[in-house]
Amino acid sequence: MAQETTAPVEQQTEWQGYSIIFAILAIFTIFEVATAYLSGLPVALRTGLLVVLAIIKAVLVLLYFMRLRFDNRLFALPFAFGAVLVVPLILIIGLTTTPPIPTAAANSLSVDGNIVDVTLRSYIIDLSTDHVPSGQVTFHITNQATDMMHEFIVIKTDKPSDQLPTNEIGHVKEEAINIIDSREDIFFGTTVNMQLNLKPGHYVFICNLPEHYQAGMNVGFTVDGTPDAEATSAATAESTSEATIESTSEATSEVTATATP
Amino acid sequence: MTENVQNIKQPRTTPNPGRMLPQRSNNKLAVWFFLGGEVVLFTALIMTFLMFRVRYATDYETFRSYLNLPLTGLNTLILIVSSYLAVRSLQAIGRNDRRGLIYNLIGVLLLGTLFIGGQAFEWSELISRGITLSTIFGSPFFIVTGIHGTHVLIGLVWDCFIILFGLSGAFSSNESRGVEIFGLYWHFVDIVWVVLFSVIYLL
Repeated sequence: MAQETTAPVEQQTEWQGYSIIFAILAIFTIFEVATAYLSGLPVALRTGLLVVLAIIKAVLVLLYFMRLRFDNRLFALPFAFGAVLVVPLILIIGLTTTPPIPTAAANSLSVDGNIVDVTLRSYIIDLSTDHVPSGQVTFHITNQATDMMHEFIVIKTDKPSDQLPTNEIGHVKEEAINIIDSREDIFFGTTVNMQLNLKPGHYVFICNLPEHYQAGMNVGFTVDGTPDAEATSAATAESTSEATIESTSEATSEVTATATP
Repeated sequence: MTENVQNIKQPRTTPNPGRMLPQRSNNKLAVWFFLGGEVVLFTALIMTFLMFRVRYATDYETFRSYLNLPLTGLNTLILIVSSYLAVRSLQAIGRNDRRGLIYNLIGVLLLGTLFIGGQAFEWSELISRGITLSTIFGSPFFIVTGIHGTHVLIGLVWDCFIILFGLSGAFSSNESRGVEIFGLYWHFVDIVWVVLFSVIYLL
């Protein structure tokens, strides 16, 4: 039976180099933080440097502070075994990680008429164009925010985009505006499509989640053409919309909805 | 048969004097096994975080701009100093310096608490910016740093017990295993943070 005794502590702790190890760890850490502010450093070099420094720091703590260097080598085995166990894990994750979700342009939805790419960020709405001819317009709406849900509301109005009527907490009063169509709860990383038959005139696109409108998520949009020419076409509110929602798991589902006036 | 029984009954009272390597302590071996399991846990978490980073590289840059690098750099230094104090506490008890043991362990307690405070401050900053557990990088960030923070908290409670035992005179140069095993755990938590700091904040 193995005897449960350790070498006397004096023998194990008599090594006096711990202060040096501590100094190295501290200097490395300060240097690591400093590299974040060195703009001239090539990315590959910086990454390699940081990986090497992190490994050296971890090994120094393991060998000296945890005293593996002075202790029974057997203790390293379970630790190493744990490290070996994660190799298949790393391989599985590495092999199954898919490239980023394709953008709206890669969406398989068939479209008629003009296409407008809409990018929602916190807190801005970017459009690929600020005007299109009247008729069928397809909006590819991508929420590129890091971590926030957004919505996309199409409003027919003559007012500038930042002067819509709001209530006391900064919400646009939806009952006081002419909403053509909307997509709510667009999760970050997802793309939603909206197809509308738009009459000539001025439109405003907003996100009406709390404070998002006032933070800057509003933008004007013009549909060109003469109103008379559109008299024979469908009414503005008769917008047929199709939405393809891509989830992060890339399961694609199609939702067809008819907007009501 | 009788001879065998007699052999078994004879206790081995003295360790092999010729052996150069330190003797193996089963308690310490158990701790190392535990830490081996922790390596698997934290590597899985770190790999998940890296997977998110690869998948949403652009979004990650935005998320990283919300992180407080100077504060976390300072926090990393704090944890390294606390690790150093843990080593010094073991050195102190090796010299039978009980006062040194207690002072260093109190230092570990204070610095560990500061670390948790710094992390709590950063969490509150992020949450006030709308980054929560349900957001794309909030989720892995809060889970990874939260599980590490929980380990720090457990270490602080453990440290309190070691201090109390130290005050009651339970440790000496001949009986310091409790301090040593606590130190192993604390240093491991330090190593994990060294890696997390690089993966989340620097790389």
